[in-house]
Amino acid sequence: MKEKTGKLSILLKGLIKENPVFVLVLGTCPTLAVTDSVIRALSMGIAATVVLLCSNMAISALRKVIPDKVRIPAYIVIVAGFVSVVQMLMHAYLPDLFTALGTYLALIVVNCIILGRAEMFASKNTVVDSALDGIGMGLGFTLALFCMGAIRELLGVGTFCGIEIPVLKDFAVSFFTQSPGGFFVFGVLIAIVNKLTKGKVKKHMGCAGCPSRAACHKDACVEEGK
Amino acid sequence: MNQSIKSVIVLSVICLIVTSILAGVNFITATIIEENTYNEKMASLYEVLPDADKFEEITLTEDMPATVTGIYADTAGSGYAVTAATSSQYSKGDMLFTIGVDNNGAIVNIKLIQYTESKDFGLDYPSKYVGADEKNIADVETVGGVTYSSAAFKQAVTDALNALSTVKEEN
Repeated sequence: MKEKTGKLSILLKGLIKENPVFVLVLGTCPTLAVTDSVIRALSMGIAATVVLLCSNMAISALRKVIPDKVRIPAYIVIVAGFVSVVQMLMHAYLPDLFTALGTYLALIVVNCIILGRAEMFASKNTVVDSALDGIGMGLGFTLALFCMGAIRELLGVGTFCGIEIPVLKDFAVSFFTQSPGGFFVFGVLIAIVNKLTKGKVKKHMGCAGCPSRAACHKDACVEEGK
Repeated sequence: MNQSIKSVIVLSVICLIVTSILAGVNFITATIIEENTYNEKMASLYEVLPDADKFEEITLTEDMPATVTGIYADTAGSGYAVTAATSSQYSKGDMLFTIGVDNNGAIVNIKLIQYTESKDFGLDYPSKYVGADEKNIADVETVGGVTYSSAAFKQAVTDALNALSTVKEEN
């Protein structure tokens, strides 16, 4: 039986159940790169959410116009346009954050979450649903970045949003702000989220075990879901 | 055939619309970005030479390297500040920075104004140049992982020191 998805469900599924970072394992590059501080993590999350929302709405609005042959180039042009707009606006009005994010702001263009949701959801659903999906996935991405950023900054530097925490500052372990520490924290959080959302090892590989099954309208997935 | 033509037309129209939007946003933000960069540059002069009183800009001659964008002398005589920009094939865009040089020609401070490189470059690498002068700057090593960017940065710092030396000789 095809799962019924309400508007609220579309909005909320990106937070935990289909979290793009910890469940779908998308956007790993910026997740590891900018989560050495909470400020950078939140900035990246908000920027990505804005791009995700705008691109999902635009692609959904044009889904019946864009031919299938050129859908990927069209999506990339649209996403790149929104990323460039965000870049210019941040550079003008939030120069400190623009500098803090550095090259990773431009890399939002090739963030798997953006293109993934465009292909999986926005190209197959209405503008309102796509907007809700964009917001939900963006908030889920931001939440994931915040969690990682908080852990890495607290344990690695002993600060939170740049504010020193007296006890933690003396016992900071720089490992957590470096690449291996990032991977370690990432792995632990994935394990925790998977335990919370599934509670058991997946028995099916394929459509039955796919967290995006609800949004995918491929015949095989619909049939298997019955 | 019709589908192919439609694909080309749709993609072209999307590109045109996106380009128009970007042009509009650039029109609004370009002056603000320029003003922010200028203010940051001027503030950086006092950051690299905290004891400076007031800066007097020195006119650059045509044979100065393109990487050097400005040379400023402290009227109180504590040293010079040189602003430079560099672009590398592998950089996202120009890196803008300011170096403070004392009267002996040694770098006392470097301030990055704008850069879009990875953290590996931005936080620690410029500090390696503090204390270097025209004679020993070649000894400063580039950074693995951001090799081209750090090489471009090193060249820009070298150009800045050479330009400053030329200006001091002329004066």
